[in-house]
Amino acid sequence: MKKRETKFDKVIHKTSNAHTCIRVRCEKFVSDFEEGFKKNKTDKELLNEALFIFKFIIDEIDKINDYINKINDSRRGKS
Amino acid sequence: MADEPKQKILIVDDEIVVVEYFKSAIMRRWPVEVLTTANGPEAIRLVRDHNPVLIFMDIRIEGGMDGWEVIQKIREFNDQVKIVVVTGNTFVSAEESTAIKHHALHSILTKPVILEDFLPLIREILDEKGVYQQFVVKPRADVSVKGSPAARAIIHSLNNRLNSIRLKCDRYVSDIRDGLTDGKSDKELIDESLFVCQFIISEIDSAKGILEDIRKLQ
Repeated sequence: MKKRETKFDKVIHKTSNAHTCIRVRCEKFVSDFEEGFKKNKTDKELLNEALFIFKFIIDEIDKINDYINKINDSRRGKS
Repeated sequence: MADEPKQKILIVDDEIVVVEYFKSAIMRRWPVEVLTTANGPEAIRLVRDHNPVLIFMDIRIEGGMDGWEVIQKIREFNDQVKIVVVTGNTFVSAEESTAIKHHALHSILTKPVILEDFLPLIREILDEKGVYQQFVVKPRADVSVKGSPAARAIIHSLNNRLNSIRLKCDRYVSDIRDGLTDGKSDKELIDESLFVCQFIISEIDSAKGILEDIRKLQ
């Protein structure tokens, strides 16, 4: 029988997904750079890419924080 | 346990734009209280009552006193507070130079004050007081998801890790946005971004152990 997914499971699931997502983005940026795939890009483009990745990471982490906050609020009876 | 009282910074300036600019830039970075006034006598009262660690003092202010007079009064009862004079004069006059020495002023900033000038200065002063820069983060989620104490501890630990990653990213992005990296070349900034990425990868990899613990729990 399929185990019922608890809020704890959901938080873990989302957190693990975010970890993977963030890691992949960073690893791709570093490895592309190291392997020279980015050589045809200007420094400005690379810099923008880095900023884009970091903003993405901030958003991902904020989403998890918001999710946990929502769970906490619902447990405290807030709407 | 009660929180320790926050260190205070006083901004004395009659230009609301300058005050707001300073205040928001400081409060986004340091866990301090920022007091503000445009009025000389009020500034003296605030120093007496709140004992700030640092004062940004404009010279042309309200209340029938100029900044120099206010500084003189403050120095009569407080020789510890660091005072930074903010002036619209491009050049520091001989009198001002003498006043800087006489009143043991920390430094003098000329308007328009830019972040690059005053943030390192605040950092230096607050570091001495053991108040360290924080980075802009949403308040960390109070992890009280239903579960065993072990489960809660694990989520807390994962959450901490994510927030430390967020801090790094936020610092990188906000430093560029605020112009704190203007002296650096794009190449240097890219090297820094690679360093941040590697930090993030290592943080996430070290969270593997935590995820292993979760699997054991389930």
